[in-house]
Amino acid sequence: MMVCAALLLPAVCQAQMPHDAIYMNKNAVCVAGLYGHSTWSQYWENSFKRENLNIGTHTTQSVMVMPAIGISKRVNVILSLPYVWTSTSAGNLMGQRGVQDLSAWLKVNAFQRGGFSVHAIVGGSLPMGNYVPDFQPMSIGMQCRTLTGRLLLNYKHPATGLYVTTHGSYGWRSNIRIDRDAYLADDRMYNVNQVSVPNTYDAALRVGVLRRQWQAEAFTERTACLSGDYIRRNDMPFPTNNAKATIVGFYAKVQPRNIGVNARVGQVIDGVNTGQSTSYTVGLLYLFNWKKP
Amino acid sequence: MTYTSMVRNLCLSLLLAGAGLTGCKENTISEGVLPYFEPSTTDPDGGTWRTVLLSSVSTITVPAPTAITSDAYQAELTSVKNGILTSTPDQNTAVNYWGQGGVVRWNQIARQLVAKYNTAPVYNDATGQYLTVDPNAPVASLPFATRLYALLSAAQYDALVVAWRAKYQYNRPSLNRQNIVTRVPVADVPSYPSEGAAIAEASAQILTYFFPNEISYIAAKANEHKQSQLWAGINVASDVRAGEALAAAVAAVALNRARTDRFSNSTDSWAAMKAKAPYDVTWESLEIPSRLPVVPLAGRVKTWFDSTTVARLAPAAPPLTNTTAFQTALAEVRATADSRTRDQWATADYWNDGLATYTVAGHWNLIAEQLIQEDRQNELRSARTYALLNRALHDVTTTGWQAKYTYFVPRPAQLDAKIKSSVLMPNNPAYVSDHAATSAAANTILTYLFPAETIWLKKQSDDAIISTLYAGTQYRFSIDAGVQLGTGIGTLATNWGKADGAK
Repeated sequence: MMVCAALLLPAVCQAQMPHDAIYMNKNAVCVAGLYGHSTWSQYWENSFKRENLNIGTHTTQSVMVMPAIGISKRVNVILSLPYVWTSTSAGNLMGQRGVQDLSAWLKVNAFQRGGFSVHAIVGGSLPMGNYVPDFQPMSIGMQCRTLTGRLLLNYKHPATGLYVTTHGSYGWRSNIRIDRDAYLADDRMYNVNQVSVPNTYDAALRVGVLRRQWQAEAFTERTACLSGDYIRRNDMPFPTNNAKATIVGFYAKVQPRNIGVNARVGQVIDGVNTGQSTSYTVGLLYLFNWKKP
Repeated sequence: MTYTSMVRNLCLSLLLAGAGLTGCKENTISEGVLPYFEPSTTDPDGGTWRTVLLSSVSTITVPAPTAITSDAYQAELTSVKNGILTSTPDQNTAVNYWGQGGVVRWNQIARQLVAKYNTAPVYNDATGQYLTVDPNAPVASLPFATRLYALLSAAQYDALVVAWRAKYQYNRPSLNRQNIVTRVPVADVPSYPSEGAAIAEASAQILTYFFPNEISYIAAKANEHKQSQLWAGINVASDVRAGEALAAAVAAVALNRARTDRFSNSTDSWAAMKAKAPYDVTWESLEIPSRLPVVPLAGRVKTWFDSTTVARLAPAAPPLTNTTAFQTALAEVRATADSRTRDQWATADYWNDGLATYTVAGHWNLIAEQLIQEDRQNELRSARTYALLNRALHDVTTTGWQAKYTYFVPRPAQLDAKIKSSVLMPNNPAYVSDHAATSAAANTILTYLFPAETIWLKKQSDDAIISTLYAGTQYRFSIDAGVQLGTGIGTLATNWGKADGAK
């Protein structure tokens, strides 16, 4: 998922995941229903860390449905569509709510030898709601179309289930249109309603244990934009900003039979143009299996 | 699966990812290309039009040029011809840029600088007091911006009236009439003195006064503008020098006005004024912690139009907060905020013109730019359009500011904290609405100047006027009073325009 798009924006979280090496079997569908909650009371204005009493604590919440579909044992499709709402504990800025962006991921286990595997993942997203993209930090999204390419390497020790995963991605983001006919970016006036949103990259390292009925993982992620400008002193964030963040967290899943639960916690530990958010996601999983007995 | 098929799978997947990514367009932003046009009029009587800053056009003398038969002139002409033959790509870019109109370009530059400096002042969080504002990097508030636009436009206009007078007094023929094809279409007016150089010099001096830290950026633009008149084959060097000299004399008058218009006192203490405000609940900053307003005394600044007449247009006292009229207005703001539609949001956002923008006055300058281009106005007429518009917008802001810091009417959210806005709350009292006053004035003037666009302008103005109610920052009575104020001052400007000699 485009974590970078969602830094001062909602940290909508993921369950059955475009960033792991786990696959549904053919004809199996795992549907996750997720609730996400993310807050920050401090943020980096450019690299200056500050609080803003006119915002107090900024909260983003979301619910989403996320089916993971087994096309084959080595090819999965993952879909997600979140409903997001934002609020602040102080000040007069109007919270936003609405259906955000529909994402689709194609995940292919392209190479497997012993416990080592290589996965190619392609994802895209399309805005589904007519939300306001430039009312940051209250906007629920950026109205970008996105396309992400990701290469994921995984090693799992067959006997113990211990694994290590690493991946890197490049994310393209489309230009967007805003309600205004001019805006300032990079100290320059653009007399047009079209805004260039910078492309992104990410990298991550995950270490954990994957067993038949449960999974536990510690991770660190780095997301940033490849270009973009910086929030000026005392100014508002804007879609052109180069948002960067380093996140650490834990993830766990228990799914003894068809029904399961998962949870993720994450903490932004360092950033630029981004909120220092603490987030958690909890989910209910249900596995449908149409495999003939 | 065999090893080869695995490798094939891997390659296919990477190819798929690669194809997807390369299929995407890169993120370039096109602002479109403005049209080039030959101005629709030459206005030979332009030198008789009424000046704004100068008591009379004849206070500035433009020396007689050398005859075109002289060796000196012929050498200049040859130099321009050779320059065209050896022009570089950079020179062509500059010619094309300035060829779309010097007045319009300098207005764009001014708007960009306003947006860049339109930041919330930095405060000491503990005390809510400003940190000392560097006078070389000022905060471009609405009064600051309207004053800048007005002085810039007035200086450009007066300089061009002086230039036009000399043009038709000396009648040095345009280069187009001397077998030079200019690189961009220009008005067929006598070439001495250069109107481009006059605009560049006047604009650069005014902008540098407002933004001292931008001196090198502004000087580079001005130099390029002046040189581009030679590269384009519009003027010879002596035309440019004469334009520069007359504009420097006009700029001196303009800057003298700026130094004595009382704006420098606009940050003086306002506590006494608040104490004696004739209103029952007075404004408090809604920022946390409470912040000082930026230029509370900008309502005392010298007006452009007759000060007695302007003073008579000052808004009447607003309804007290305990009246039914006020409570109805407050309830309307709340109801609007609670049920704000996406379309209302878009209107409020479009007309927000808050931090990091050129302000609502700048927004109307952008609209004027489009009309100037449609109407194919020459430099003198463009400057007149802006000078009428921007003097009115400055006076509107000054008078509105005076009402703000007389009555200290609270913003709606001060009385009902459940009112949530779609824009940052302006840190100044509500009454009267700047957006309404500015837009009503702009609509009045632009409708007079561009009657063909009456319906379109009305739509723009209506949207701008109501936008602050949609945003949740203004009451309807504040908007209505703004419209009345704006229409009144707009009419003053229109009357000035009807009598300034331009037909």
